[in-house]
Amino acid sequence: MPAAPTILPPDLLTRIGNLKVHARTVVDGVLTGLHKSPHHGSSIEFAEHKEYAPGDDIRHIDWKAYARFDRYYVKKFEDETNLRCHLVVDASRSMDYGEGDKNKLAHARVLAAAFAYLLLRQQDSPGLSLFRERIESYIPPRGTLTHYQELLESLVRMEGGGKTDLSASLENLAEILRGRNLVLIFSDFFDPERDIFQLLARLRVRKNDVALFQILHGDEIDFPFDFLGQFEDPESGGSVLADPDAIREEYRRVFNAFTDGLRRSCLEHGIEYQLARTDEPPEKAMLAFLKRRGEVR
Amino acid sequence: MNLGFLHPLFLWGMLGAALPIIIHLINRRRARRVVFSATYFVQLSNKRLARRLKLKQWLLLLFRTLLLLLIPLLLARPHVSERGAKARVTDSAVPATRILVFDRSLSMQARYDGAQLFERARDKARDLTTAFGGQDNFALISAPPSPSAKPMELTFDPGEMLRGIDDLEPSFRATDLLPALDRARLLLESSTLPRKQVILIGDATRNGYASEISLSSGGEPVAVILHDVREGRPVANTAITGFTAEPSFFTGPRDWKLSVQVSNFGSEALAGLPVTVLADGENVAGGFLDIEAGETATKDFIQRFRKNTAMRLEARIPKDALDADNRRRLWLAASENLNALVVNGRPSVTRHLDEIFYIREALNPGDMNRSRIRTTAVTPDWLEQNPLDGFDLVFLCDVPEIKETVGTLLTSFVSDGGGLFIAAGPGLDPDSYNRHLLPLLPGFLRGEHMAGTTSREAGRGAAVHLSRFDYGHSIFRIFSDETAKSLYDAPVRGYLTFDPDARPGKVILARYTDNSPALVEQRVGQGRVMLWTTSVSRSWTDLPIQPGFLPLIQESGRYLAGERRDDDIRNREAGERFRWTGEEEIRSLLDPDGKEIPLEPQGDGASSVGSPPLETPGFYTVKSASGVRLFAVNTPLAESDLRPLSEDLREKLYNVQAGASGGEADPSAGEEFSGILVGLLLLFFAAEVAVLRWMG
Repeated sequence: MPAAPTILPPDLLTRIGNLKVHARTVVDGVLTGLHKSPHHGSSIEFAEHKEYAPGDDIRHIDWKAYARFDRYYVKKFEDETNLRCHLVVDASRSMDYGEGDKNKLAHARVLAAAFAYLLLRQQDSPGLSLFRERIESYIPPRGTLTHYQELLESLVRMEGGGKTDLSASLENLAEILRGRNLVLIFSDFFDPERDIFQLLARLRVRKNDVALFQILHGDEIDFPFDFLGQFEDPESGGSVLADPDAIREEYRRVFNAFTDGLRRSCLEHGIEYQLARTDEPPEKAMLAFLKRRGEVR
Repeated sequence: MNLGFLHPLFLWGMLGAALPIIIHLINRRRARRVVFSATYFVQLSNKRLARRLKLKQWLLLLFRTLLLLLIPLLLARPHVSERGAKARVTDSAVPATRILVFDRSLSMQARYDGAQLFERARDKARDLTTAFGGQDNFALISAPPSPSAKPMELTFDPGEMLRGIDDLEPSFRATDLLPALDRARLLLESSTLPRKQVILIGDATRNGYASEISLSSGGEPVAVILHDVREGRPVANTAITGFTAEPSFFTGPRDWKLSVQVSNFGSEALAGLPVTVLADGENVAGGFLDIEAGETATKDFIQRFRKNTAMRLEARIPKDALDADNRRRLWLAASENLNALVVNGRPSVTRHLDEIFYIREALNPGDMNRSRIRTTAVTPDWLEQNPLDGFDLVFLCDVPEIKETVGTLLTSFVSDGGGLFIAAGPGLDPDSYNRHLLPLLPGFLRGEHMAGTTSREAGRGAAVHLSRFDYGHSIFRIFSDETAKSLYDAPVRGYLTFDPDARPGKVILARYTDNSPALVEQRVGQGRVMLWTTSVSRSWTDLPIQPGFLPLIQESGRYLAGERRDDDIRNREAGERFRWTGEEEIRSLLDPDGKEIPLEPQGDGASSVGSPPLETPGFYTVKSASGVRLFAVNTPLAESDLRPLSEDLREKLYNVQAGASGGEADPSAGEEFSGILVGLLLLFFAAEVAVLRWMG
């Protein structure tokens, strides 16, 4: 029995509206950036045109495009362009760090909404999963505008809490996903003791294209505190007394080693890695990601 | 080892060493709670750094705490001294108050090893002063005090000390360290410096240094460091320790026996030591003495002088280590016998019942003319027919009646300076005395008072006694409670009473236990009268048979004759003061060089004057209305004994520092200690900087 339609509370509606506007702004910015970029004319995988490559059916060459760009582009068929993209957002408590726009979860929320909007604009099908210790909500990819509303609502309702178990969540995801997907994972990946790349490799083996968006707050990167602190882990509750001045260098070294390790592992496993700092506009990370994919493809 | 501090208050600053620890604890308590998503990495970093960081932090805490401990410690100026060890004079690092007591007694004039001890001591004092630390304060105390120099207060100026040392001059006085040490104690008590020393520079003779010295300042005992300038070695000395002149009646009426007593303080016997006597500068006698080591011998000379002569006598022996005591002076006034007329009021054929039996014995014991009072005994009627020319004294002993002519004679005699002693007795008629002798009496005579109802009934138990004398008075000066005890114990069964009048010059010299006057002095004109209210025979009292009776009568007789004034100019030792208690005004006192010595009124009487201590041996001249008299001042006898203090006493009484060379500065333990602390301070500071750098 289908669930009775719920009347969304006004503040939620406002937040959805804000997120929608924000996402659109981000996408507009991204597209503008793309058009201004030296990679003019290049396309992303889910663009309407694809540069001709040996093996493509020459019947599908877009001659108008050839006239304009002096390059061969092939028109893709409808089924080829209907990409299934799965947006996986970490909603654990560690993501709920930072104030206002710099909140990591809010940042992930905007990025996810922006990708969803971009995908829908290109007739692709975004889906959404929220995870903590496991996948907690799952919206399968669809390509309708009402679906976008559903995604936004889910994102807006998303609150940070609970512990992160990326391995378990990816395992859940691997079970859920069918067919070929683009999997964009938005998380801080603060679970360094577990090897997530075996699971990510499993996704890759199933022809899934995987990209990691590491959402980090400036505090996490720079460790700028200047007072003696009793640092408390929001997930485990463990705490440590530390003098930031004394350990800052070591912290940065350790933290960089962690992010570098993550980036290197991504490279080794053919997984895209993109850093998204919350003190930078979301479109920066998005644009960098799209440009890189354009170069690669 | 004793640890001391110059500024102990700074030690409170050591509490500041707790600051780093307190700050550490406060910071720990005030750590801000931060919910931080990357705490895992903080933990990881902290864990990696923990051991290194903790080590550094502990090192920092340690060095900073040590720094904060060291700074106040340094400011407190710590110093160490050895407990029980002999204090070093020139321990210059630790600021100290150093009192230099300089012995300039006569014995310091002795020559030892080619140099005078006094000059050796002066060199030593200079050396020590120049070796004193820059933060020391010091004072020089001369023992005995210098008559011309003002006592020095504590000074930080070595120049002032050196000037004081240069100004010191040898004295002829005896060693008397106690006033100097008393002054040293006062100075030390006024000092706030942490170390206090008394440095005694002297010759450590057995006579001057054998006193137990207990010196303390602020409750802390202060050791007296002795610098023995002759290093405990003996110095042979021979001295004239006595020179007397007595009439030699056995050899001739104008003969005098001059006795020269010589002591050999050396360790070898002396044979044929020449002894000479000079009279007014002329050699009048000479002889030789053999004296065993450590012994004393006397050489007697019989010398005839003219009657009524006065002269300067001086005995001499050859020069030796200490020259000043090889001469001894004596002022001889050969004319000053006293002639006393003793009037017997109740003669008896039985000697001991004779009224004047006891008083004659007292005035001229054994009738041997050894006393300076020569007696002439007469009956009362003798007075009616003879003048009193040639007599200095008249004793009326229970004379029953005084006739008018006798009264007039006696009044004139006393007014002209004669002395009259009136002794009561059962035969005395008060009425005749009141009629003809009242100007010489202390009051109107009433009659006898018997302790019983009558003299016959008076029992021993009912008798009164003499009450305690005023030993300050001239005639009682020789007495003490012990020597006067026989007089106090003797019963007095009867005495004469009188109504005292208001005339001035009357002094009750002694009373009975019932408070009645026993001996009353009355001054009349130039003379004195004494009323002895009981008898000088045993009729009313047992006093005449007591041992104290003789000196009492002798002293009274001399006093009445004005002998006390002569006693004021008796021969003295250097350092004694001259006192003049006579009524006769003194005009001047001149020292041996003829320089006038200032005289100041003394507290015990308007007519009494005194001089400062007489410093120089020689003949002093007293000029008064009645003429010129002299007295001799000689060196103190004790100073001639130059034998050193025994080793046991030296060790017991003093910290002895031998050696005449000065400035054996102790490598200053306190300085080294400060240097070490400064070194540590710099080391800790460098270590802190190094740790900070290490921590980045």
